[in-house]
Amino acid sequence: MKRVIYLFIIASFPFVISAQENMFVVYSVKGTVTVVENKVETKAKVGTILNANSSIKVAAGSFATLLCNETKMFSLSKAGNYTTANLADSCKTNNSSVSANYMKYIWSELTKSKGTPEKNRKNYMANVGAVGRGDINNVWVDPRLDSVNYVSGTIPLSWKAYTEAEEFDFKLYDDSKTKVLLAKEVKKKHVDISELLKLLQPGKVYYWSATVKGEPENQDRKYLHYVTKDNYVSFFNSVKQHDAAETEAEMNFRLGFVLEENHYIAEAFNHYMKATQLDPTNSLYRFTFMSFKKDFEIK
Amino acid sequence: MALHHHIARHTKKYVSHVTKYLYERDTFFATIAVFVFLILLGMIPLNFYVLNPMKLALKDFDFNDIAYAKAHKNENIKIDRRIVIVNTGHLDRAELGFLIETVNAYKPKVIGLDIYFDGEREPEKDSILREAFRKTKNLVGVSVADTLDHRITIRKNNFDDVIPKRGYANLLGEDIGTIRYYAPFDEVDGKKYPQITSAIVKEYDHVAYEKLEKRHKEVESINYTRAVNNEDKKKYQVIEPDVLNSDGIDSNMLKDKIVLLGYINLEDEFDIEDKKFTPMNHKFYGKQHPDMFGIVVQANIISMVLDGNYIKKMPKWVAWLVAIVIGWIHMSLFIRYYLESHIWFHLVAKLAQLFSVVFFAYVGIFVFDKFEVKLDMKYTLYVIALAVDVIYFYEAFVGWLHRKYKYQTIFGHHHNPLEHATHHTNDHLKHETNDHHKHETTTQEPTTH
Repeated sequence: MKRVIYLFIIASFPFVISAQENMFVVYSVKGTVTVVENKVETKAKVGTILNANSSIKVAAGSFATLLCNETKMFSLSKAGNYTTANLADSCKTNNSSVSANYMKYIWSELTKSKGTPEKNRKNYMANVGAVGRGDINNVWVDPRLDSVNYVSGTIPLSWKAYTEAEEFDFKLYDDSKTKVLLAKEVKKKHVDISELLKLLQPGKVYYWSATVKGEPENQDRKYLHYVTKDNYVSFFNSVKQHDAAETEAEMNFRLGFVLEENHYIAEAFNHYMKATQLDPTNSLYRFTFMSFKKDFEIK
Repeated sequence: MALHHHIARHTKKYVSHVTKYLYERDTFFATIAVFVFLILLGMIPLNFYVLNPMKLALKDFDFNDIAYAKAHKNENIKIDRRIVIVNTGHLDRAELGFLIETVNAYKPKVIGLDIYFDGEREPEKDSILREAFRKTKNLVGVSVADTLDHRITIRKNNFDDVIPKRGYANLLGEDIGTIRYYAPFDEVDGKKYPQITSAIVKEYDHVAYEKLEKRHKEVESINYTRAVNNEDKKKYQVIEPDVLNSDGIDSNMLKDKIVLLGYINLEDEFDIEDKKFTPMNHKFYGKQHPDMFGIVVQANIISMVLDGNYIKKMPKWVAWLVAIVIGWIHMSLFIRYYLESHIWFHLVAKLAQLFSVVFFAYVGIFVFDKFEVKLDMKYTLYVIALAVDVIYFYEAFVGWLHRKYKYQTIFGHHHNPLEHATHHTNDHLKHETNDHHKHETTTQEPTTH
């Protein structure tokens, strides 16, 4: 019987371990951050331990850095009330072994592309080359995408990076530029508007930004206006009217140009494409359409 | 033919590439020649790498640094809660005095002050600081050790009388070099004088201190385990003075702990005041930025001593023995290709060298990570690198012995162009013949020139 009990204890040991609670300790605090324990709210101090029934309140513009199980560190910068149960996911540690990391490093070095600044200057321009005043970030957004008027379809909100970064933080803000509507990590250098549609409402203005993961937030917000169909139709009709005689292809090319100038990127794309389809022999149309796709990274 | 027979036959064939010449006299002598060459190179008193950029770049290089920089050793190690770092920033002497008193109010077991106060300043501020030192009995201060004529002296300071417990903060390393070592104690005026971390450990944990003393090591390797940077690494608790002054820390935060007061700036990554190069630097070769503030280096030393987590080093004779064995095996492989498939010799040698560097560096990193033992594989890697060139030298040398004294050598046929040609033309045929063939080659009559 004793053996059975021992076996049971040994067998249940891993579950006991996995069921252990995470221990959170406040590492640093800035602004107004409080800890609620047994319905008593106190100021969060460095070194405060949060137990299973505690929660932490972060006010707007404040942040707290917590340490989970004395190993994993993470920050709470978004205003809100967090219970320790909500934070359990932040305790996950990266368990990759030293051997695996070493092999990955060797492989990455063996397969690293060779080159020199003289032969491939674009690969060696990963520096700003001047002192920074204000916020310097390693993300560059084409000025053409500085403002986007969106009606329908989809276009990518794209950017370029000065570093070899592979992961980026994309954020969508409301018209105040401060309230984050969406924050997501992306492993590509663009986010299609179609992915944001469920958060957008026609007639409203939004802003977006992209930041290299781990770097300070990019303060450069880009304008995104979800134009109502009525407003677009009235604008479109105003630019469609033209006194001079023109073919269907010419009209579409002209409309594509005017719409692009007025930041209706998705609509401009449709008209440039139509012009090319209607007159496939016209090299100007083809070249403009190709350049347009390249500039806006439309595949 | 059954698959396992097929595999066994091929395995045997490839193993024979290494073992075929393993027990030949020339393999032994060529291996010895590599070591003779190595020792002779080491005896040259001049630094030939004076203008060699490769050598200069790798002068401060240690393969084990890859364990931190790229293989993320100790990444998931827990924060050391026994030690708390309080940033002193650019506080003046009076403000520092108040800070020391504030810290002491939280009842830490030891306060380590990693700041040296050179000379006198404003009298009112100096006296506030002096009073704080006088009242703080558990304070360990910093001395500066100077070396003069191979003798260590401790620089006199006007606060010496109020800081009875002191230690030198000096670390061992070249100017702008990686800090890998420290001297736990040194002799000053015939007496044992502690480094500041040893003095702090003495106050905090007497058992750990005695263990350190009993090691009788003049120089200890620092086992770096924890970093604090402005990215995601914060393996020691760092407290800013304003947080401390505004009662922003938990009342038990510093109680019975080691509090280190020193300069650390996590706001500005380009601030390099008192920042050192350590093996934890992300960039482990070439030009780089210093990566760790001095106070964090001292904290790492204290963690190491408290945990008894010292770095063990492979004895030098083991390093040489490993180099001899590995060098011998490589020499056997290289000679096999040199004599029998000369066209492939350089390709095989380069591939073997590449594989060996990757493999033996891995073995070193693995053992360092698992057992905190530093394997010294540099001799092994030197031998593998030199072996190829030494074969040419050795061949010329035995050729001369062969002509002069009829010395029997497996390189004999290489000295007769006719025989050489015949030998290599028949390479493919020889592979098909039995294993005794090599003895025929090795015992052939030397040709006189």
